[in-house]
Amino acid sequence: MTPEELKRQEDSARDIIDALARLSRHTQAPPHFAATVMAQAEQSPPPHRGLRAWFRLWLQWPASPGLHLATVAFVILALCGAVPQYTAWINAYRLDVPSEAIHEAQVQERLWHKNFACATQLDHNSHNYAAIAGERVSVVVWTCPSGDVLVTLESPDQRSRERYVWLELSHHRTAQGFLMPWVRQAFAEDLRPGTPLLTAQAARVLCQKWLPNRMIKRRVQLANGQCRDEIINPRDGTVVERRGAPCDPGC
Amino acid sequence: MVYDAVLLIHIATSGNYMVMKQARQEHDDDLIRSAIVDGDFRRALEVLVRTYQHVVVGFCVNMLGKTEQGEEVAQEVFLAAYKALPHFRQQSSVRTWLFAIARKQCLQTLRNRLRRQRLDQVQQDVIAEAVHRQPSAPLGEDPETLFVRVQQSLHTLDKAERALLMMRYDTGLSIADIAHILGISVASVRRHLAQALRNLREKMHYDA
Repeated sequence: MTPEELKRQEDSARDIIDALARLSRHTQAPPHFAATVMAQAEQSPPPHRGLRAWFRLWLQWPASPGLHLATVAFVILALCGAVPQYTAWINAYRLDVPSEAIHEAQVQERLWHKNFACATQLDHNSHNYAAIAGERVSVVVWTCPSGDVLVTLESPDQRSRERYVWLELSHHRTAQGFLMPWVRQAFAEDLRPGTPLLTAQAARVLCQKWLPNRMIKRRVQLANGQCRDEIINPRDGTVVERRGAPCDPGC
Repeated sequence: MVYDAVLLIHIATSGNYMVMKQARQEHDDDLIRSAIVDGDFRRALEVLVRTYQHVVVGFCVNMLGKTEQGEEVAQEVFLAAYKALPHFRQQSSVRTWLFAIARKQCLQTLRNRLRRQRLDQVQQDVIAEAVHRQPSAPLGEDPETLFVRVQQSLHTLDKAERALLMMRYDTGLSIADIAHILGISVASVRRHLAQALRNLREKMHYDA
């Protein structure tokens, strides 16, 4: 109903409305009313402001509509501004990495997808393969036609392959061409000058596949002829599981 | 003190009773709000009772149709308001908040009463008391006669319609305030008000 329609109704009942307006003027509270109320209030336990009421008190919307609008706008802006953070937290949970490592994890996973076929062909007999061993670390390099390089960091006794790291580069280079300047620089403390490249760090990938849980299963043949299955987390390059396997390409 | 000085100057220059009354009420509402924020609920109740006792008693008496019961329920209204002071969210005026409590208490009392008595007996009692409270008026359409008829017919209305008419035209709450109390839209309040006015007029013509 519009205000005009109500006003028409009220105008036609103006005398009745005037009578209604006089209803309470004929009635007054008795003289003792206030004292009676205060005495009864005194007998009852004082009202208690619980934690919820305190919280609400300090978060009350301002009474003025303008301030109310400004407050709502501010809250909406703050919530929208935090969306990238929420996205980061969700991605961190989804990728199972710390929130500050999300970007790198996404890059690594993308490079595994991009160079998956190339990584399956890793073979120490190829010119795309190079390895160098130091006191505390061995570095294996495998270059791909895309220009990207898979760097494997492993302990010298090869009992545990520690980390796979993809490097996204602009153009293809040979393994030796990449390994010599860059790796020596990166691992200067572990690689004595003159440390030769090792081709005997034999490794050959027999097969490789994606698992339903977004991990990579890889069967590798080592220098001693034995084979091993590795479950790799493509987001941080760690080998989460390794176990002996038959030397056949049946991942 | 500064506020009181400003108030007095305003009263002196305007000479308007309603303006004075409203300014005084706003001043008291501010006192109540600041007492609530400070946690001094007893002081808030003192100011609340001092400011609103007459209008709340009038509302309850006219809602229930009985002076003694109306005064008792008015006391219960203030005690209920006292308990609810910590939770007063100040989204509405003190007046609106208080009359929401008063309406609820009065309607509950009427529901309890109706459970115990037959409706027609209740109406007869209420009308009888309403007539007793007012001096008998000569026949005709003079304002006093009309007032008595309005008062009698009001108590034959549905209690929700009665409360609505009293909140709007007796207490002077705005339509927006009433919408806030009832939790309905402003357009719905207008519609219900118009219906209540029509029903009251029908009752009056029927009674006449």
